[in-house]
Amino acid sequence: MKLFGSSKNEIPFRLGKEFKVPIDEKGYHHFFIERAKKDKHILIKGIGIRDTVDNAINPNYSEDEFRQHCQESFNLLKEHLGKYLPDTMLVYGKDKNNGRTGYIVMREIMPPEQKLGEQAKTKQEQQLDELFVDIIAMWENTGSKLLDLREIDSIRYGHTNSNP
Amino acid sequence: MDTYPLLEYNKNSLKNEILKLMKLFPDFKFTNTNLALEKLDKSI
Repeated sequence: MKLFGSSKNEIPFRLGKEFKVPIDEKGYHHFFIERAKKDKHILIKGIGIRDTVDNAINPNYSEDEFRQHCQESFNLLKEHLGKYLPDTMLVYGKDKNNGRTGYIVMREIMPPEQKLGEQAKTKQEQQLDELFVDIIAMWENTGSKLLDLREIDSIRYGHTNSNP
Repeated sequence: MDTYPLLEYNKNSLKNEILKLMKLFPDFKFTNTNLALEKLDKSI
């Protein structure tokens, strides 16, 4: 499956860049990059579901269906953006106001096992510091629901493998 | 395809998980994280 409007040569992490992730034959979920720092730290916001002729649709998801939808979108984004960021971790939550907005944070984290120089170590500390602050902010904004934070243990291995 | 379940965290469980992760990096100060955790403690 391919992302509409993106090509292999295109750097996908420009602020404001939009992604359209196909759901099924009925339409796609529209995402955009809400925040980006350099090209290692991005926040992706899901802004709605549209049909194949670009009309906004409201699928009236139940709680479970919405969660499933976020899950699928997350996996698709991971599948497509993961090739650009081989060492990423991802977290998403849910907007408590309307229950219809999914957030995904992707970030490259350097594995701590590596013997890092002072400069790289400082960078890693900064990355993690920002990441934890983002997670706290996301928790505050998303009705307490987050990706299983134990997944973040994967930073020890420098990738998102859920079975390290 | 991998699955990534959403979990519900209360304030304490969130704080504990983050503190646990911070302990993986004992040399780091995590200045901003500590400030955010303090703010979280003070929130309702």
